[in-house]
Amino acid sequence: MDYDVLIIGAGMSGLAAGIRLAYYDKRVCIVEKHHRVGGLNSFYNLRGRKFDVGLHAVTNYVPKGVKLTPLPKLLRQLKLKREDFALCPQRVSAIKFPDKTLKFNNDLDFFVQDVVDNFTAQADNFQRLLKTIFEYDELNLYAKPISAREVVGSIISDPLLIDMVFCPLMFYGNAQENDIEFGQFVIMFKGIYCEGFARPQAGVRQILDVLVRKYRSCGGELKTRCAVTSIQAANNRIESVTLDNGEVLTANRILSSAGYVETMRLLSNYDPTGIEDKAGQLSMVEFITVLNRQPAEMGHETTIIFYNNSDRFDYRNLTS
Amino acid sequence: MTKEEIKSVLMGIVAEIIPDEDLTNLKDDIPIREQVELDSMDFLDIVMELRKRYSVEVPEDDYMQLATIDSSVAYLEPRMRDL
Repeated sequence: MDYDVLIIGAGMSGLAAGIRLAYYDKRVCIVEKHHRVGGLNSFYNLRGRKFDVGLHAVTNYVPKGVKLTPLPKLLRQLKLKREDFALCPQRVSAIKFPDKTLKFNNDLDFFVQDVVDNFTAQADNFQRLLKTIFEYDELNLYAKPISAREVVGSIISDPLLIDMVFCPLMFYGNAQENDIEFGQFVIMFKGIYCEGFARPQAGVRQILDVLVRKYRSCGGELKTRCAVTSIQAANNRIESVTLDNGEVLTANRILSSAGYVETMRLLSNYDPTGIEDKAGQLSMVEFITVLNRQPAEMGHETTIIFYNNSDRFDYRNLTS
Repeated sequence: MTKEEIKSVLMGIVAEIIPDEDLTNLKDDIPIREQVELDSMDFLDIVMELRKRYSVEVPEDDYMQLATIDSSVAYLEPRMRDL
């Protein structure tokens, strides 16, 4: 075997998996089809400026000293130093619907107060929702999936408040149309409202540099500009992987971060039945405007504004 | 290695894996996970460090024997005494 583990994709999940495997002395190779790492959270330069691809804020931000939440756990499991990410916490973000605006920052109490100020009749219900969220074990992998709209709808009786609370969580963590699984809702609620947003000083490339350096220092191999064109499978086992340059690699295990459908399509014995219909229904389109002054100079202090200009929050594919 | 050295090695690894926890008054005979915040990933890392540094293999079926410091040292002693 060429490697103990072959990882397809040098995005954050591929790199993180690579770090842990390489650290524990596995022979690991990450193959990445692009010339740069990062995948859905990558970066590029255009006309002398640096841009990031994908979501622009890191969720789950907590100040130094807070334990047990995902960020410190992640840093510990990857043996990284907090300072290396150089995270700048947000000031305040907003959810702007036609009739109301809610603000939130990295302090949950601030958000709760704004919800109570804007939806006085829902004050007690909102506290009950918080209690339900804190009592739910969102990390239980064996939990039966439940609809978040159903759970939240049984506690909050104002549909506008529900839509507004859901809005940022959907954009940041939901690949499903209209509804979100409740466990995922709790994960996103905690990550965004209870913990918070931040950005690395130099953008996502800062985080990616740290991950790649760590991975390499643990002995991991990284091949960019190496696309997997096919995965040789037989009798329920993977035998080898073929790259676009014709090279064939063997490994005891293959981890793919290319996506379920995308990975299955690479199999030499690929049968599309029951797989193609699992392809994602939602995409993001991004427009970027470059300003010639700081937003603060124009009186703009908000980090992220989540807009919805319809009566209801319609999180779905335009054609469905 | 003596039992004291094995205990010291183990506590050193635990301290590296959960650096934010206070390990000074840890009781030897009460499960570690009842005294400090150690999740299943942290526990796995302890097992992995033992293998990485001392080539000690702890099969999954034996994990429950590493519940307390006393039981861990007793389990590791025959496997590390010749190191």
